[in-house]
Amino acid sequence: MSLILLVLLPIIGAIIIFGPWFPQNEVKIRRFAKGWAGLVFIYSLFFIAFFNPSQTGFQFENILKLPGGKDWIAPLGIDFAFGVDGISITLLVLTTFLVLISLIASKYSITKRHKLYYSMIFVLEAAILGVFTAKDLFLFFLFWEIELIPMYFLISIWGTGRKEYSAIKFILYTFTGSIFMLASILAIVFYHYSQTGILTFDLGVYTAIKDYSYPIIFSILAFFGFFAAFAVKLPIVPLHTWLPDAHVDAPTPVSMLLAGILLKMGGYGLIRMNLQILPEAVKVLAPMLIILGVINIIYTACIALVQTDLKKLIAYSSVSHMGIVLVGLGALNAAGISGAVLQMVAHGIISAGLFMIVGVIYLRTHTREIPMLGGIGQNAPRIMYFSLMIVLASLGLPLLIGFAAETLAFYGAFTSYAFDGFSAFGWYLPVSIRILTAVGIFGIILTAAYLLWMFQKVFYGNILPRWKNFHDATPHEVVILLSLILVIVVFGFYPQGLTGIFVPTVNNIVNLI
Amino acid sequence: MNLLFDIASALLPEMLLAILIIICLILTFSFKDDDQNLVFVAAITGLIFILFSFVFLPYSQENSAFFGAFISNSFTILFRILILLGAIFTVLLSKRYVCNFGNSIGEFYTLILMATLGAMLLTGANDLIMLFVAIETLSISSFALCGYTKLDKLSNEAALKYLVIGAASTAVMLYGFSFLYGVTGQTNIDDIVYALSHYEVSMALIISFIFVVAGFGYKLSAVPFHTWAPDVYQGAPIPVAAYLSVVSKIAAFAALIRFMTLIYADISIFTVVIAVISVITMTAGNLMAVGQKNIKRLLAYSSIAQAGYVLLGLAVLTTEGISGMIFYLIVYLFMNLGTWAAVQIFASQTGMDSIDDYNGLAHKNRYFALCLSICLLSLAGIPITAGFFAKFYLFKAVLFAGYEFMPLLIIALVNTVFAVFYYVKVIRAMYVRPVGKFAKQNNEIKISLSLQSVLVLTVLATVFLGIFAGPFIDLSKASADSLRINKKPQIENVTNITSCLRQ
Amino acid sequence: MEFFVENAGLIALLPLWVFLIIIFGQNLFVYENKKFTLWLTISSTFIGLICSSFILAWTFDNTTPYVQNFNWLEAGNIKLSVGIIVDRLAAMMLMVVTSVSLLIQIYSHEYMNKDEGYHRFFAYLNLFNFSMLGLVLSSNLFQTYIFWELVGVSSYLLIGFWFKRPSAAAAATKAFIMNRIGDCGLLIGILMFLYFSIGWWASNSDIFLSFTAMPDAAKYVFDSTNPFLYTVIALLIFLGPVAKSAQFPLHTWLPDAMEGPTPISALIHAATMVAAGVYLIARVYPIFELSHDAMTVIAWTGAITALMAATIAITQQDIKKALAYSTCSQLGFMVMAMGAGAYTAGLFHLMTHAYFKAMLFLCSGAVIHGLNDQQDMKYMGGLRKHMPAVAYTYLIGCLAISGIFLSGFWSKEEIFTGLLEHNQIVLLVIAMAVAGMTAFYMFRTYFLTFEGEYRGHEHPHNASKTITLPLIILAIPSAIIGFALCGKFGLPSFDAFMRVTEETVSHNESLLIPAVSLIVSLLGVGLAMVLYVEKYRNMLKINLDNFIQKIKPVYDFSANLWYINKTYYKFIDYVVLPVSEFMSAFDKFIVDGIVNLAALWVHFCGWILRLFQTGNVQTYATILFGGLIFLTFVFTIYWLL
Repeated sequence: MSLILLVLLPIIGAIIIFGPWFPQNEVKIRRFAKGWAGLVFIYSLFFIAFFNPSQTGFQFENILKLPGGKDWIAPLGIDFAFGVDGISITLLVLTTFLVLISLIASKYSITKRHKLYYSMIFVLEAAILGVFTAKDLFLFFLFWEIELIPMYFLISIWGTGRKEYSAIKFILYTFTGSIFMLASILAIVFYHYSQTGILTFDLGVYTAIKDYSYPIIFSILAFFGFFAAFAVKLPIVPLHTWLPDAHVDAPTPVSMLLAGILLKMGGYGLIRMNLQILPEAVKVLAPMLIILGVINIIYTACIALVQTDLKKLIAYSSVSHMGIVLVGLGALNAAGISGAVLQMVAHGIISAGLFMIVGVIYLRTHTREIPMLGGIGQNAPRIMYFSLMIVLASLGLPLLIGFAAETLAFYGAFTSYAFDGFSAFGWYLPVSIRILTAVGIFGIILTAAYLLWMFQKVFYGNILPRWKNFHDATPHEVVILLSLILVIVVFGFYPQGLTGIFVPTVNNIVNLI
Repeated sequence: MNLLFDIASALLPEMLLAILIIICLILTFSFKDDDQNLVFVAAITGLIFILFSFVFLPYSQENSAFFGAFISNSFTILFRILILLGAIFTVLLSKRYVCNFGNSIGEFYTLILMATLGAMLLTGANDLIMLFVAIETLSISSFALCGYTKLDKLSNEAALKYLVIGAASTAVMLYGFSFLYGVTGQTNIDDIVYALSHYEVSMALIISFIFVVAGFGYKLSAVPFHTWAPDVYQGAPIPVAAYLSVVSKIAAFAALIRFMTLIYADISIFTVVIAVISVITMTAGNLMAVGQKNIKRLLAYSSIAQAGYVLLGLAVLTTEGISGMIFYLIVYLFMNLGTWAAVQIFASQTGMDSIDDYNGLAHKNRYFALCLSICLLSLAGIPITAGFFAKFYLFKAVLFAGYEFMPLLIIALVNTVFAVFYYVKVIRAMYVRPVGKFAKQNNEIKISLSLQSVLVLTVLATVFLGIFAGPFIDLSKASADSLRINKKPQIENVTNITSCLRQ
Repeated sequence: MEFFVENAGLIALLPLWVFLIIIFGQNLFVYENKKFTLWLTISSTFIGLICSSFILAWTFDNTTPYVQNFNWLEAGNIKLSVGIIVDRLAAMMLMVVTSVSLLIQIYSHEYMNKDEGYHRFFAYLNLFNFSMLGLVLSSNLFQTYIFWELVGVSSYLLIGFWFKRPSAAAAATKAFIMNRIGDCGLLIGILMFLYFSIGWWASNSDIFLSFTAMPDAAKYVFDSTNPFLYTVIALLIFLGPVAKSAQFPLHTWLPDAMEGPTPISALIHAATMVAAGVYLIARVYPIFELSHDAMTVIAWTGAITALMAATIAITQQDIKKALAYSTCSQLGFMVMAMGAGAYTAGLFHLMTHAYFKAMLFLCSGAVIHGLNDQQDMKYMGGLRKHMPAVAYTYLIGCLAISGIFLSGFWSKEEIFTGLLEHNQIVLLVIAMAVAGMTAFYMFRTYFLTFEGEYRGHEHPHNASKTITLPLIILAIPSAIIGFALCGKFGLPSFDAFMRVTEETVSHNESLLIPAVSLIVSLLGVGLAMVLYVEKYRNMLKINLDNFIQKIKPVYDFSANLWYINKTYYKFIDYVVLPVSEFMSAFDKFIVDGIVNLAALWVHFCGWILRLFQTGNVQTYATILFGGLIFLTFVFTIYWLL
């Protein structure tokens, strides 16, 4: 039960595949990759099996020491330390699961340079797992940056359209955001150092209650430093423009990972860093979070309403759904934050499903233009029903996974007392925030509108003659979509199964705030 | 005899190196041009042997030679080792390369060794005269090296430019020295320091400070004294370019650090001057690199930018800052040499040096492309390479010198973003782009053993330093501590400054 | 008895299981046996019917509702649970839903037999049953919201059942989106209510938003907020019913929903789902009661809807559309009654309406089936000879809905009395007028369809047993249930049974109201007879077309559905989409443009700087010395200052 092993497993897999000793044979490579990803997934399941929700703080902590018992980078107080709490373990399992799924999905959409592709996917997985499990600020940043390289290759080599532009845009955007995070990390570490004389990057030290508190200006600046990185990743309007390009040009499995996991890194970071390390600033800036969230929801939903490219539409819908996460976080109460986390998981599964659907259609028609499609449901009822399930989940239908998340988040934002304290703004700040939240709820109408219009135009109506030989889902695709839908339905009926894991952690965070 | 022993305790490697140079010269004269590989063997074995001779130098305490004209302490020893390593790699790089040019190979190695000697002396020079002599030894042999391939027009042009600009800047530096001498009437640095401690800081000192910085700036190719770099790097033989961008830079940095921290540290505008220069340097270097098509020029600009980063450490003027610089230079040695080695390999195969020629190289030779990418990523400062860690440590040092350096930090960080863009361009060419001119010709890349060893060693070192940085940080800390930063603490948070003057 | 009550949840869960069995049976091992599907469905519904009748019996002597809850979602201070509540209201609805849907399932077997989507259809039916029964049994408002959306989805699926038809697909989408508007309002309302009452729930009840505690909670909220805010909350909650039971601003989806198979129109869009709105109003009645303004709005919404729908129904040519608008108008009646305070009257009408409207729709279905999917009344007529059973049941239905002695008469009579009691005279007048119109357009459809001689082309064939049987069975309650529960002549009183509060309003037993309403209805019938029965028309020398020409503007206004639909489409085309287009352009060119501009700017700076790399030494020397002098100058000055 070693987290380090969990993070290293994908790297090992990558090395095994990339090395000269592994046969060039495509089938062998894919089979091995799937097997390995499955192994990682099962291993991660063990963690959740032995995870104890009621226990507060990090679990499964393990620190790798250098030979001779020294810390990894002793002179800078940097540990090679890993640990998970309720939130990160949820996302951890989500990651391993989605990687497995997307590897299965890679069969049709990846046609060249398999060695490089699968090793890159594994490097990516390792990086993301690292981000979710790192218990050290430096390590967090390290993995945050590592994730860029495989992502760049995955988009720019196997992508379509303006892939190089999108890939470099993605890298530069994320990198630009992350440098400000680095500045903030150094700043708070230095502050701790100048307060206590101890130089450490250990996350636990900063997330726990500190015997000193930052000056408000300092903490606000640090907040924005972190925020820059996570706002790009989440993404938050107006820093979202990399996302539609990246999603549209990336190959299907990569879009699944991108929407499914990478965006969650932003939300996770917001919870881990901004909420836990800088509560003073968060108390002040919570309204901003909610306002931004509502803008995300409505603005991008409106844009999605008129997209004709399937992937662009879904990409914008992801941004819109991420707005709900932001609203939940801005609430600063247990309901809101757990809603946000739940929404992250839900959106992870759902968006992966949606992109899978697009991939399935694109594979058969080689177009993503909605007007060019139509009536596909006649030939492919299976695909139609699967996508119907996923679409309904995405528009937050009760008893499917998305609903509980949205309700919790909105409820949290609605009942939040976080911004009642603003005597400066008088009574109307809380009120206007709540009105805004209500406006945000209007988003569910827009979501329903664009998703169902899309669905109607693509699947309903009479089939166009040019798609006469559009064939139904292959067993491969059925397996993928079914497994996703299974998760959607199971946790839709029984959300406690998920919330039970991370709500105690969330409660701790709230108490800290 | 006793005297000789004293000198040896400080200067043993240099003495051995001098002997090696003579041996090489003799060999060069006594063999015909075509079978002078013996010189290569001699040079390599000799250099490695000298590398081991460092164990005889007392590491911990400080001893001087030539009546205090040369200082040997852990700081200088570290730098001399680095320089030697650089020299070894350069010699290995040049093996196959110089064979392609008809003229005598022996001279080439001899010149490299001479330059190395100059560089090593430069690190420990503790006297203005000594310093000047060392710099000239380094420069003049480098001029010769640049123009070594005399059939190549570009090479000659490069040599000339290097010479002219070099002469100009040396003059500037000398002028600065003269001011210093005028103020204190001393040439030995310790004496100067002692003398200065009695005077108020005067205009003359300021001017000398700026001039000396300019003089060094030329060697570091700091903006606005960088102009020669792109042309020279492009024109000169690739091993020489590598040598200039790594060895002579490291030597110059060593001298700069000692000189500045000892003499000028007390000047109120010290930080501002260095900071401004470093900011200009890194920004200009990166911006100019962004649109660059030719990989040699790209590397030239990148090395300009790198120099800018390193200067940050000096700007904040804390022990940690210095150790940050040292660690950065250690890493820089490996990652930059690795990159040049890759460029050298490619050029020796194809004779092309435009980025577009690298298109689809990954299809051709996966491992070669991988090595080059690792080096470039390291230069760009992306984990898990040494470059990332070096930058991180340097930036950390900058911030830990005080929050007022936050703007400096931000500027540096923004610069890294530009950097990522153009380094990734090369990687994109290799991995993403469809197979290009070169890769179409189906000749396999044949890498000679010497080149291979350079590439592999440097890449391994880059990765290794990235993962196990701890000990090396300790090392650079130690050697930074051995340095006496002559600075009365002015800013808060400046950590453990040793500000005692040796009386 | 207790057994059935305690396991009432099974009534809802059975159809879910059947749904799953059919779905997986169809997809894993494709069985062709339609009987299997049919019997599974029917038996599940039948069991449900039995159970619910027992439950109904149980509620006769137990006034305190039976509640049972399971924790569903818990985070921080919010605790949401699902469960069941069994009281008289629920029992009544259970009876209605199970009985009607049982009959309709039998009917559908014949109706859908030819369709290749037979199994799919029954699967959807079960899904709907599950969600509808779940809605009825919901123990708290939040759970109601859950099933509220689920019924919406199953109606979406069933409207779009023939999704190959573009019109059907569009109608389905439209229905869902318009319902979503209502749901959105409902959700906001619930959240606001919860926000203001959270403290109360936390201390007083472990089941948030449970209906049993609703009155006290509502009072608490009413006291802790200002009336305006409270009214807002109430109206937001009311927005749900407005959408679901097709009230005035959000009614346009219901007529389009007739694209679905006719049994669906009968079950979902006439009898049960659209009535769910009224049911919800009844459930959260305590909330509305407290706010007088909210009640007024509700009442007037109902009235406007009733009037508008009635006027539109008069001119409809499509028989199903006509029936749809009549449904709309009847729902308006119920809502109006609720709003006016005639709580039980509304529910009474809900029940009676469920039966006779379902039957009417089934009749129309039989007709349409008999004429091979001919819905336009222009091509009908004289069908009484071909399908007498259908004709007579339809006639019964018409009499019932027009309020001529049959069940509709009694429920409407109660509504009128209720309006009078709460002295809503204006509403009463409107209601009367609407009653008259109802009689008119219902009989218009009857005459156009069954009387006169046949105007169609293909030969009409009589409906089979399985189709007529449910009609005949349904005809019985449609005829007598109103009278049976009128509470007069010593008969059991629905009013007394349902009345939440024990205070008994003094009934004025004057015959005025019934008499007037009867007269009005008869007038309507008469007018219809005069206009649409050839015999009398010729007798009075009335030319229908000229008559229509005379009242053209009015006629068009009604025929164009009051231009409401058109307005909505215009709004979408000229406001919503342009705005979105603008935003998307803004996103593409401004937001993203800035980013690309920055990148371009960096390139540009690099280019400018590289201009200095001319390659000749003079320039370089100049730069070197220039730079040196500049630096020296600047820094010396800086030092001096």
